Amino acid sequence: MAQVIVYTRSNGQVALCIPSGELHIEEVLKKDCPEGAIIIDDSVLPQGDDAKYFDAWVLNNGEVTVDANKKAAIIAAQQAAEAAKTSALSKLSALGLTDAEIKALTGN
Amino acid sequence: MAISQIPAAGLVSPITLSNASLTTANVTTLNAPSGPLATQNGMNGIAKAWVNFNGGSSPTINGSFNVSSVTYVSTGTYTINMTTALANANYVPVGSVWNNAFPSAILEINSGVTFTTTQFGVVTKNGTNNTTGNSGYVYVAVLGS
Repeated sequence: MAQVIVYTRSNGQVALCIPSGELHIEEVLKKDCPEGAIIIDDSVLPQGDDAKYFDAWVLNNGEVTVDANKKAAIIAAQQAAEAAKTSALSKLSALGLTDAEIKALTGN
Repeated sequence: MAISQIPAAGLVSPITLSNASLTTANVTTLNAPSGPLATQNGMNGIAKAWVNFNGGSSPTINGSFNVSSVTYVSTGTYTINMTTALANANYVPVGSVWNNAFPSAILEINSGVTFTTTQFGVVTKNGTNNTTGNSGYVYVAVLGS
């Protein structure tokens, strides 16, 4: 288990500071992080699927959790982007472009 | 003792050179346990800092020099914090990024973070659609004074 530093940014999002080991973590806390940053064990950070939604992490009373509303908004945005991509590819295909031509244009 | 008279082998005592001018110095091992050479290379033209880190949802630093920490700010957005300050903020960060999920990946300087002598920001992107995303490995070095 390693220790890391977390704090809440001015926009409400969590920042996660990973020390390299060149300095003691207490020195990193003072040098690289703002007032209010705290040292925690990385084992208490959100794990599994929740770890993927870093932008939905919130820090409350020294505990990092995932905000369900923020996570839902991220998932909705990802789904919308995927749907737009599928729709665009479909329209390109309908124009008669081959898969190779579509890949040359879009990288997909 | 003149430099030319130092024996090639068997020298055991450290030698302190003050304001010395060496035309050619062949050094097998340059050992600097402390001071600027140990924490920040004292020569121009070589990397003053570098870091290799995993850029995923659980960032880890795999190796570094003169980097005290990497801060994961948001998806694909990181701040590199240097241990010893550089002489000025006119340095050049260079690097690359690897992500097996992206057909191509891009490493950019984060324009939202002002360069200081100890800190700068980078962003990793999916090169296909130019959207910010985490990357498996991020490699950054700093050239400067």
